[in-house]
Amino acid sequence: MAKLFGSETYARLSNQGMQIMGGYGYSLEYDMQRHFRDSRIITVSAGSSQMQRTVISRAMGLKVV
Amino acid sequence: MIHFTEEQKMMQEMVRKLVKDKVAPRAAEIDETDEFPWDIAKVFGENGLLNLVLPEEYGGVNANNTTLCIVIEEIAKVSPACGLTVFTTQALLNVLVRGGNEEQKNRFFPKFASADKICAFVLTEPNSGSDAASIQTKAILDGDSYVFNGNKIFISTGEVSDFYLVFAMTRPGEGAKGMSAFIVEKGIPGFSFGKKENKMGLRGNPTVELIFEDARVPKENLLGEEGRGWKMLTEYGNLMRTWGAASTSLGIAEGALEYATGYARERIQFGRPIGSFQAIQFMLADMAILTEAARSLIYRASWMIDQGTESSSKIEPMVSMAKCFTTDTAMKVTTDAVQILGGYGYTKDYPLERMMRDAKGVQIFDGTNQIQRVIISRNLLGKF
Repeated sequence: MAKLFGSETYARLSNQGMQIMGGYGYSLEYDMQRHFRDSRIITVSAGSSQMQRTVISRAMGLKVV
Repeated sequence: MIHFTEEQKMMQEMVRKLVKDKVAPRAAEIDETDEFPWDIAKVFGENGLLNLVLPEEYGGVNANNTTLCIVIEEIAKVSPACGLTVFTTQALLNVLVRGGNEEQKNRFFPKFASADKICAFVLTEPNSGSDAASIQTKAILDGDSYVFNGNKIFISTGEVSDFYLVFAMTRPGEGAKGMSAFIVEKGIPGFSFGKKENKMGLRGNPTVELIFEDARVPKENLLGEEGRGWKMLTEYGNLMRTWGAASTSLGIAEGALEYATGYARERIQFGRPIGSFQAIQFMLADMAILTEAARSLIYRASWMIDQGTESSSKIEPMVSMAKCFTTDTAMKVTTDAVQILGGYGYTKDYPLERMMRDAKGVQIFDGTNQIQRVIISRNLLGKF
């Protein structure tokens, strides 16, 4: 839950951060675009979000087919 | 992060058993009839749940913030409406314990030793909801008493309560600086009840209009000094949101998640339990993540409050985050739980539609989630 929630929160916040900064967020002069790019891989690596959900639902007693 | 004392674990276990035996079988009926459950209030009283914050000699356990969170969460798992009785009663007692003088404590506490008294928290008016400093109910000193005039609405546990914590203007027109807090007893001349709201959810806890027409309240019932009302509201009242709306909605989310998980294990479609389908598994996993995150947030905020060392500027946004996040979580979790039960979830034969209606109410009361976001962003950005 911690891995999934943390990484997806980072992805969502960096996306919103881009929006708040408008055109500047898209420029390499600012760090926000880097956060946006970095966060994108963190929801995939070290067990994707989908794998985390599989682990959680298995722990809730639901069989994985 | 979440560490409960032995006493708190025992309290949690006691309340869990009590509500399973006494409240759960009545929850649907309480919602259906919208009648205040006196039998449940009596059971709560007998088990010490109405006096929690009082000192031991008056039947209490000196409950701290976390203990109150634990109790409300457990009750709300089966009936948030019943949890409200404990919430509003502890809300008044909590302010009395912290903001009352010795004479007031000596006078009021023994009245609660019988453990059958219930209380209400009275702030909202027809023209003052989120903008609480704009209340218009007047309390003007005249001889030995304050003369009350004005109307209050949306008062939870109204009419059935014995004591009311009422916020009124001792200096009308001066906003927050002119606000004071009083304990008002039921039955004084000029204090009556008006419309009872017919609510979508949280049914069984009456939401009632209070009418003051030249009602005389003894001047000894003023809490603290004149003009201290706003400070009491922000210092004590805001913190109550952790064990008020936040714990209530955490209980709702947990109740809904547990029910939907059990259903997903049992319900067979296409020759296998629907819980074996990834579409359902991922919905339940997301519901569990949000619920656990909400629990962490509430008990972290509560821990900060109980430590008593953190500044209010650190605690205030944490409390608002806990209220906002948990109530939004309860709304999402209950909505998805109804979805998992499908057509059955939409009927009153199952508890989930009630939980969903209850969740909506908690997003609104105890400071709307929009107001919580105002508080959070003001702490990030400062005032403009």
